[in-house]
Amino acid sequence: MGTLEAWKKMREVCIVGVGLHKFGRWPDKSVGAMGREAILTALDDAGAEFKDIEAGFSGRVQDVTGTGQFVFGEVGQTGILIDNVEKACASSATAVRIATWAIGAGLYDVCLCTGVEKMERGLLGRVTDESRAGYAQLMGMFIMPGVYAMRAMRHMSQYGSTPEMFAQVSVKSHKNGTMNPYAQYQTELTLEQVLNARMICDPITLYECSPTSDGASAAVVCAKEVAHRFRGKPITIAGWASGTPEYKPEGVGGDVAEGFIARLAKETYERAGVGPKDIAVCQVHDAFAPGEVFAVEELGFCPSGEGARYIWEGKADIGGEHPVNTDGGLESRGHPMGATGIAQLTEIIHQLRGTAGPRQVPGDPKVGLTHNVGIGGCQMFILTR
Amino acid sequence: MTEAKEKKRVPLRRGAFEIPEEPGAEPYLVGVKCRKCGKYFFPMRHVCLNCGGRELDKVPLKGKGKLYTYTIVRQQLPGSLVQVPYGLAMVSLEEGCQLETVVTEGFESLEIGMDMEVYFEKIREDAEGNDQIVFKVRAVRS
Repeated sequence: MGTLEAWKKMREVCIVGVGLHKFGRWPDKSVGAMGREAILTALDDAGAEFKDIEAGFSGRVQDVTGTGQFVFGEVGQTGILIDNVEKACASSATAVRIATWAIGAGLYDVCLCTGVEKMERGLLGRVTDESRAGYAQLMGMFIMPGVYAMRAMRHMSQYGSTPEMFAQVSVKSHKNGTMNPYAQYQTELTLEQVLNARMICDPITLYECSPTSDGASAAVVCAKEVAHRFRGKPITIAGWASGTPEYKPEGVGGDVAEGFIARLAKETYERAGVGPKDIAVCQVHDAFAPGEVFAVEELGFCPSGEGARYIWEGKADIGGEHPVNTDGGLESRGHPMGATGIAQLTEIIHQLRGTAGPRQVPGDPKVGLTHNVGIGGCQMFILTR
Repeated sequence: MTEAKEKKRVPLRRGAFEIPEEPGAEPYLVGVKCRKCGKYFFPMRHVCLNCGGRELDKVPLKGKGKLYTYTIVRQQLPGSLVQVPYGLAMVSLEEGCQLETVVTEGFESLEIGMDMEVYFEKIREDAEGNDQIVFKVRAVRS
């Protein structure tokens, strides 16, 4: 991996401020208004002002063009570079990674990264204009839970995991969400409620699906050597990786198969100089509950096939071996696609700073991980204190 | 007196299969085979993912394989021509490439590993009254 040497030579980069606009349904709030609130919160958290920002990166999935320019424009207009970044559900995490490269290379000292989204209710991928719809859309194949469901069905067939185990992910997620004032859903659900909810694609029920949401997130990213200028406690971006699923000559590949996440996890661990056992808290992409099961396996917390049991036995709970999605994850925190990446980082920042309140992982956690999947790609980080 | 127009079969979307001119002849799935390394791909593509070869020949596929995995879709996707419930399946074709398609026949009895076959049927008529054809899979009838 050629870039390991180059990463080691780069300046240390950290996050000094984070801010969120509560995720949920905000029909009367524009993307600009939500973005503004998240940015101001992040700047205040850092003890920074907009004039400190030297470059900006804005993550959004829908209606990308111009977003960064007008969202940042709510707060200031200083002539800085502002790039719009899109990697589906991993857009704002990708924005942070690009800022990390720019700062690490010495081009900028302080950057602002944002994530925003405003979404309609209901399934993505519906046909709005038949003349432009492809075969998969017309045949009802372009259904997001479908890919996760197919992988879950195979997981049950190969490893004996059960629908109850997948449902437990949602139970844990909603329980954690009750302790997160920024979460879209703050109500506990029982296993029965999750299992008996409307079935979407076997075995995934409605309560195992992340919702569509409106929301925003922001982070102030800076070189460690200038972090002393700011009030916010800096958390270092120790490792990262991004990539896409590779063609597999031996058979089934792509999103349904295992493998590419595990490969990216190894790269992330190598860059950070840590291993799976060092991860004290993490955020994974639970767009649908089985996503969390696959993630704990691919991140190396347990062997392949054991992920469902791992979560069922409480090892991913806040007091468990590898706490996962302590703030409710995508399922309960919500999933405004462009904003999710930085929201994952925000929770890890709070956990490592010790400011997660009732959600705080005990034992003074020092190493956290985020795993954020977008259509056909994934962005991961390891953060350290 | 108006003449009855000859009803044609047309694919819902072009590129995945061929429909022979003869009225009774079965359609067949088409993929490509790399001239250099012999790997098959579906749907058709122009550059081999295995060896980078740029000469890929259009070939008929047998339409047979094993069920790799599946789910049953129960939430209707607005604009979809297929009504819930239906199966969504990944099939490992004999030629070594994979196929994702729907199962509307026998999706309640699917089992991972079972032998599947591709078949073709009309889904609706187009504005000119032609039959629009789609491909699906079902368990091989023993």
